[in-house]
Amino acid sequence: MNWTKTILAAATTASALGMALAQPVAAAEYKFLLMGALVHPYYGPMPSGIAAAAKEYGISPVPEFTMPQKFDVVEQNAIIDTYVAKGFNGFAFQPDDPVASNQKIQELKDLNIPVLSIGGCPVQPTPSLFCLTTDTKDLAYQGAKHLMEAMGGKGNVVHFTGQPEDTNTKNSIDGVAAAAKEFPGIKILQDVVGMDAGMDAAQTGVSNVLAAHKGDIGGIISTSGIATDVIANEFRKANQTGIKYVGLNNFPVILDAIKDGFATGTMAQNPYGQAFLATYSLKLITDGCKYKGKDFYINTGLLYITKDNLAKQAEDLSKVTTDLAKDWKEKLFDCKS
Amino acid sequence: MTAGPQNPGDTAERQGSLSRSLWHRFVRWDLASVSIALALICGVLLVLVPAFRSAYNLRALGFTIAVTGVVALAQVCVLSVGQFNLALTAMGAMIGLLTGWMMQDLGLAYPLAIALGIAFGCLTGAVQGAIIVRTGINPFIVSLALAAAYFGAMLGLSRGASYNQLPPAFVALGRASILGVPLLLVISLVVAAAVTILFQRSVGGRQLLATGANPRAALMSGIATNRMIVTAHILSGGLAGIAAVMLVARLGSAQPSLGSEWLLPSFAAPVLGGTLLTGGRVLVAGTYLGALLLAIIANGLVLFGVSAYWYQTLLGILLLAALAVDRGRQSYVLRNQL
Repeated sequence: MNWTKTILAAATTASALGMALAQPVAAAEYKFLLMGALVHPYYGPMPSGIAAAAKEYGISPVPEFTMPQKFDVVEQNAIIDTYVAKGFNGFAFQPDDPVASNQKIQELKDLNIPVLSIGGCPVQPTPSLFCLTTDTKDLAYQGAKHLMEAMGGKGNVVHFTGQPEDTNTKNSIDGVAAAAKEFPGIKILQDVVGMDAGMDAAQTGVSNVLAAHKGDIGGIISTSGIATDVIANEFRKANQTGIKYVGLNNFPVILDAIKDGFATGTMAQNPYGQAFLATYSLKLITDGCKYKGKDFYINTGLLYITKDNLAKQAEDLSKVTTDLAKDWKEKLFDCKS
Repeated sequence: MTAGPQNPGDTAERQGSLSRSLWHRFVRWDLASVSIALALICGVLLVLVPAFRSAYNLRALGFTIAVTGVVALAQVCVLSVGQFNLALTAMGAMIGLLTGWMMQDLGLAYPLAIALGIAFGCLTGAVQGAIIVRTGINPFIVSLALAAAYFGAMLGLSRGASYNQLPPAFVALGRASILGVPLLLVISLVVAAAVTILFQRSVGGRQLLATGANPRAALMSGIATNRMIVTAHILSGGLAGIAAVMLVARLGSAQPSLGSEWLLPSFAAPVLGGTLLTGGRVLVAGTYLGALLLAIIANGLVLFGVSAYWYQTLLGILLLAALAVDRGRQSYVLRNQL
């Protein structure tokens, strides 16, 4: 290693970085990016929602959708930067870090690029215009209420939920507790946290709790996506149909468990609708409309899926979005100018 | 006596010899592979993707390399003595959170908080180095165990809290530029220059490399190898502290997830740039070229619109290809005794 080589290397670095004299990239009218927080099946329906909104409202080209590989705000910021360099002029994404992402959102705002949040929200105050998301407390409340009704209003309930550092976890615990207050015969045995740490952690947690409370449990609710699948698989393996069970989301494992009688129901969120409404909103904003809504959090709806509506759950979920979109423009945007 | 007309055959031979000599010098150059890979990828992106050369994109790349470069240097310091620091990510998170806490909750002036944060990084490195030399336990295990301990302590003490009310002057550092070049990149290059001088011009740096190349020989020649190992870990901790502070400034907040993705680039950048995992040889400039290559590959994959589902696979293949090119170059040099 010597100085000549160092200088040569520095020159190579500088030449790669020193192309800043190039022409600016031309921006199309509608160049939107929607982005999840990481590669995850939750975001699976989003591209369909984007495509449907693009078709419905004549948005061309169809907005793009991508996801970082992991929950990593640095990687997510780098992807956003790359799309800004490509001339994208509207973003809707779930922040990988509810705190740190605000800096990037502010940078985009400084460039006059509108930003919405979908799927999960940044902490307030935030420069994000609004957040299309699930009301996690309401989800837990409604799911628990359905479960407790299925239990005949009596018995012991175990609640499996996400990470202790996630604010949604506290919301879920509060929601389940609120539902339990309405049923004097119901007792919450345990809120089991940390289920979203990974499949192994969820498997261990579920096995431990089922072993510890064997015979005492009348119902289980899961507000953790990972635990939902683990419990469904456990019940299938053990041919367990005696315990009432309500899961989260509408992924194949829980839907199959409902079909085969191993689960009572599941609370489906609406990522399709979040993407649909975000795409539509970005178009309205780009067209010059101003957001006049008072609320930062906009609940994108839920659907309780049981054996009864299993066959038409996709259709029912789509209807939730259609209902929300009906007066979306008039209710939330000022498009006078 | 006057020189007669030159024989055309002689001229062609001389030119051939000159080209061969230049080629041999080039393939012997440690940074040849990473430079070729960079030139190829940059060339493709410059021609096919206009957005690559936009000022915004280059500035964003500059920010990425600034932090990745210092993270990689933190690993380089321990690689110089033939060891690893797997606690780098946890150190980064802990130092970043501590610095944020000192600025936000204790109200310390940000230069003082930065200095204390970096000093704490040195302290964590010293603890790690001391445990390794005192116990003789493999550094791989020690740093892995300490990573868990650091991360757990950080979560326990902070309860997962984030710090997002940092002094505006500090946050502004993360977005500032000097003549269009991100300030963080300037700081990063200054750090790189200091590390270059350390390894190239100082006795201590030479002793670190000697310890890594052959610890027994270094000990026999009077080098306090244990002290060198602790020093390498102190430097690593200090550099992790600098990288953490830079990242906090860039993100405008400090949170427990800070630095969670540092481990792969901390090894990949030095290795791509010619630093030996076995110790004894480090290439600071090569490390920065490696960091640049990593950043440009990631940037290029997004620019080309590679599906998120295939991104990681392609990234891995491209990294392996880059390493294979370097391996091929080294074999060529050995085979031809250049």
